[in-house]
Amino acid sequence: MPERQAKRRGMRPGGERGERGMAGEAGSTANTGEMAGAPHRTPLSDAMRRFRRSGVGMSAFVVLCILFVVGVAFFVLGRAGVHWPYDPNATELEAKLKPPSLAHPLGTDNLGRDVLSRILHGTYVSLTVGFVVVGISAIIGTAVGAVSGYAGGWLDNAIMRIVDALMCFPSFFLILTVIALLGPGLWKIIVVMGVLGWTGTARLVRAEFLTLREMDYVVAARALGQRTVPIIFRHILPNALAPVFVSAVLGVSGAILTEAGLSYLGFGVQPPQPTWGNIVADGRTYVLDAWWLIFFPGVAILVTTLAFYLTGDALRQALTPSERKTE
Amino acid sequence: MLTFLIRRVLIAIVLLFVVSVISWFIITLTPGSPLPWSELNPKISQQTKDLYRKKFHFDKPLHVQYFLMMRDLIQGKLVSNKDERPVILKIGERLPATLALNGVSLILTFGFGIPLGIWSARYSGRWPGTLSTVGAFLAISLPTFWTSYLLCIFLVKYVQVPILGLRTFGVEHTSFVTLMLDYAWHLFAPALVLAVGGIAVESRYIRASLLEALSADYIRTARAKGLPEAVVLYKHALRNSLRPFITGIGFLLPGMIGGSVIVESIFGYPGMGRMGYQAVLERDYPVLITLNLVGAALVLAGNLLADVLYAVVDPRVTLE
Repeated sequence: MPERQAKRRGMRPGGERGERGMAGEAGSTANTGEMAGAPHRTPLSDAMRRFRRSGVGMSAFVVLCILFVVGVAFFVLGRAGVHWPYDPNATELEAKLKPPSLAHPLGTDNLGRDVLSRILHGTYVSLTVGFVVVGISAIIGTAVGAVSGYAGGWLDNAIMRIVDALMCFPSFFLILTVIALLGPGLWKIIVVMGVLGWTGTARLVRAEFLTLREMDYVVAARALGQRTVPIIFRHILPNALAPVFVSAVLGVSGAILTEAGLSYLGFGVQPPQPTWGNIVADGRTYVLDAWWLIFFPGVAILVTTLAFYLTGDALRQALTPSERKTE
Repeated sequence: MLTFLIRRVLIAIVLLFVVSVISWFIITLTPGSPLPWSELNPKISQQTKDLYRKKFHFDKPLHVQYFLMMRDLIQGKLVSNKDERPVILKIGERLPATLALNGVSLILTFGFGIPLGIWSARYSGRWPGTLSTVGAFLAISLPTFWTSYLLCIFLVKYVQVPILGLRTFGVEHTSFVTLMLDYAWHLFAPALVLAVGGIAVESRYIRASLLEALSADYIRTARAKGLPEAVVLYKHALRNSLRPFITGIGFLLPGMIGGSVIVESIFGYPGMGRMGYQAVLERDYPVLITLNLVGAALVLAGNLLADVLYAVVDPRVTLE
């Protein structure tokens, strides 16, 4: 989806200049100019304080926590065989396509399954996809970007040309092609999306490394005889992580939307396992008769992705103080 | 300028080669057979299968297959595995519809995105600014299949206009005006759904660059001269913050394939996105490879176009 791609490039956290939010070994006591009273203020605690103050960001974060609890709770309940409010796969044909009522708050689908139960039991799928996909791509992207940015020279050039080539692909279409040819399945989707989605992070980390490797503390570490690997991972990486973290939180939304789109097209998690995307896919035949089959799962997707975007945006503002004036 | 263009085109050719190799690997190394019948189908003789394999070169080693396919593609002779029609022709048929859809969507994107961005930059820091930030993220969070269906339900139930496909059945024999209106309705709904995310992104871009411009010294000077706020905003600040406009144009080109798969499938719109979706389902390798290559070429062309336009509108930017 190009708009997602555009958004990822456009709303890239602006950690290029100014103070860095994460406290590494270096610079943690550098900006003590406005320190007033508090004995142990670090850039990280400052950022946390700024984040807690942002009303929109905190509300979104609370929503995320609730979603997380719901996802875990219903995953455990489902595994334990406790079906509440209903068994998400129990069919009841005499109650099919019933509009929302007291017995079924969000209505029933074409097989008489309770939509609320299906949405609740599908929560963990979206969250798992979001977190694991972003985790995979953040790890690959950080590693590749760190090596590329620190090494420089021909290695950097070669890696960046590969990244350029991968970024040329129409992303949603590429993922669709691979999934369609591999066959559907939760873990296949996660791996494919994660393995194809690291290029943005790699560029971000590389850009950070290009500036950070010239810093005095890196030169000092090298002069003291530190080996390359500890320099990359202990000295530079902690200072480059803030933008990666922000782009990862924003990236969860994109992953959830892509998974929902794939599920909707029938390439996602297979029925009867309910996911937000395939509830809509099941309901599309009845689009004019049963609006609740389309509406409520869509609201669930919308609320989740919105919460991740707003949390990520608030984090970006908290971690990059130089951008705060534009909030 | 000329050397810049030549270098960029050469780099693009190398990148396209890499893209073609990667797509070829992805498509051929995944399990499954391109044959239109199951391997176990008893009604298809071994001879028929062999003939099919021979015809589309599936009996040759993989690297030979790749070179044969690329040769056919460059000569424009590549044919679909399924209906044996030239791929170029199949894409050409879909191109006008795709261009129309993306053109209307682009007009909507700029038409709404730019005013929204100006508005939210103007009220930045106050509640309308916060509202527009949340609104923009809300629009990006909308799953396209969901908005498509809600729009379908709304249009069918309350407005009662035709939406599926490209034109209503039997409308060919009516007047020119009816024909155009019919076409406009069929175009409008999918274009609107496609534009929603773009409007949000565009408004964020405009807002960010306008805020940057508004904090510049020449704006303080303009205000100090006593110019009306509207002149300061629209004449001095806005002109210097139109980079996002160009970025938006650059993103339009690649959106023509990947961005509209779901929307085109729902609205039954005969564009390139749906063609790609069908090719995926049918394992039509030549069409898949070509579409991936066309998609990559569009990304590169979009980037190049944006870079050239930046230099055209901004004398400070030079093409090195």
